[in-house]
Amino acid sequence: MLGAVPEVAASWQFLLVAGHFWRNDYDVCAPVFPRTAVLIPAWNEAAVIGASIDRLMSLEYPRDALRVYLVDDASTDETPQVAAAKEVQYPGSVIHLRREKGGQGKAHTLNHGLAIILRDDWMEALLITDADVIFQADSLRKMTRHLADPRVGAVTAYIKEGSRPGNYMTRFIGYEYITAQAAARRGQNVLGATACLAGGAQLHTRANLLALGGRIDTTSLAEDTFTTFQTQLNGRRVVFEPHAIVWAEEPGSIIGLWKQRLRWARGNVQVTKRYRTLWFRPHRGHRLGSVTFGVFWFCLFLQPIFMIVSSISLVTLYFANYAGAWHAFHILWITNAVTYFFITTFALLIDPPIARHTWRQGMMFPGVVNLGIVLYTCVPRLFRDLAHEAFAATHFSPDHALLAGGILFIYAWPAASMPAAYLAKVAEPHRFGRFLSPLVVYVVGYGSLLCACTFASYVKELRGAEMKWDKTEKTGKMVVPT
Amino acid sequence: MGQDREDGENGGPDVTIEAVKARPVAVFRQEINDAVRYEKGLFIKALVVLAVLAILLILRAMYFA
Repeated sequence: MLGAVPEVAASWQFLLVAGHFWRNDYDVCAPVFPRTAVLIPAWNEAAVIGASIDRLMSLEYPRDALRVYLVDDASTDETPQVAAAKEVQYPGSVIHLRREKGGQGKAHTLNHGLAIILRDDWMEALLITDADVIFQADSLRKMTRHLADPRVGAVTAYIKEGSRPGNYMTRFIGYEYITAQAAARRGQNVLGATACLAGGAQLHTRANLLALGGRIDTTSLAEDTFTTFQTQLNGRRVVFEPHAIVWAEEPGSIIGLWKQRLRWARGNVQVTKRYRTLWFRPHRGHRLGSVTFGVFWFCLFLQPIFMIVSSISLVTLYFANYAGAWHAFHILWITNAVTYFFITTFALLIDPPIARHTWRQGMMFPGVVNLGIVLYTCVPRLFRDLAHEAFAATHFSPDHALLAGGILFIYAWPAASMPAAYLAKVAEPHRFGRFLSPLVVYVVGYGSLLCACTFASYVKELRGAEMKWDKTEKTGKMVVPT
Repeated sequence: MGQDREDGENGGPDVTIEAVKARPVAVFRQEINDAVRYEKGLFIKALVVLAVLAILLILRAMYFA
């Protein structure tokens, strides 16, 4: 039954989305335009940085209240030239800063810019973004309207995947972002506790930054999450604004996704350890210690463990109590089926424009095998009748060993799907991988691929592997609605 | 004008910059109302999905179990 816990928690989080209409921050919003410094860390971003700055300069925001600070982290491509050209094009509005010694990671690059920005009193709010992120014209003012509430320390926006035409992987990510951002963060707004400010779109008040010590944490791979937690622990609120939309280019390959998600997942392990005294301990000043938030956090963080435990339990039960195992299997997969239907259908309705582009990947998110098991659990009689007809037509009669093998396979599948997903990553660089890897992802499921990545993060952290900042490669292939 | 010397062509991110002025309060109010209306719409959508799910579960229990 433990295996069903993450599914129930996910459904609960989506139910909270429905409550966002009555529990939100819109009643305390006001049209405020604080002097905002935009901080962009950049390393070899020549392909994308020019367009990003142009977009920032065209925001529906008073020009005299907006400055862009580009921190070039010792780029070796044409980033310095592009940045210098933009500095000339927007005099006084674009400031090019350069670190001669780079490669220490995003947090160090941000801190270089932050130290300079905080030297004078001009900045009232700071927008941290990435070099490839494209802001919709109204996005910044939709974020700053929340700063009218003095309790708010930081605001984040809804990041959408913008690669067009994109490929199967960017479409999976596009759908995933509906669930992980548009839905989950609305739910966290309702709950009053936010897990993470999006790294590409986080707006801080000056007071919040000063309370954070005027710098970003450099000791982990999840500096965004540390900042988010620390903001709330300092008694300030973090708000997600779902109608402030920004676009980002996400990895188009399994290897690219693996690098990015391994970094995020390792960061989550570090956060979980760092705040070990916080979990499940309700506190007056913040909601991070609430039981609900703890359940949401650990259901995601321990998802691979839940999958492994449920498989081991079912297989063990198969030998100890055959009928009990079958009963437990049905309860687990009926829960999965209900969750799948609710979350997939609702997620696609939350953001119809993205859903039109990604609905196939949304439907295939659990993978063909899991969907087969879900269908079997929902309509077992139909499956059995079809199987009987097929066996009769082919004069094939499955023996006991074959049936037992099939049952054990579906019991073991939740755990087995993770190494199977890992094979897709292993195969990708090879010649046949171009066709095989997407096929494997569709068969085992994108969710299993993410779980495999989370599991790999446990291993890396247990081994004390070096914290390496593997930058996600950006190519400027985004097409943004105007 | 963007880096590619184009101007938002084919939905690309490069755009010509125009002077921007703060919007009137009426526009702000309208945007807040639109946002709240959208969130109410999500509530309705969630109810519809749950209703369909309930019907499917009943059908499953009656005919497909």
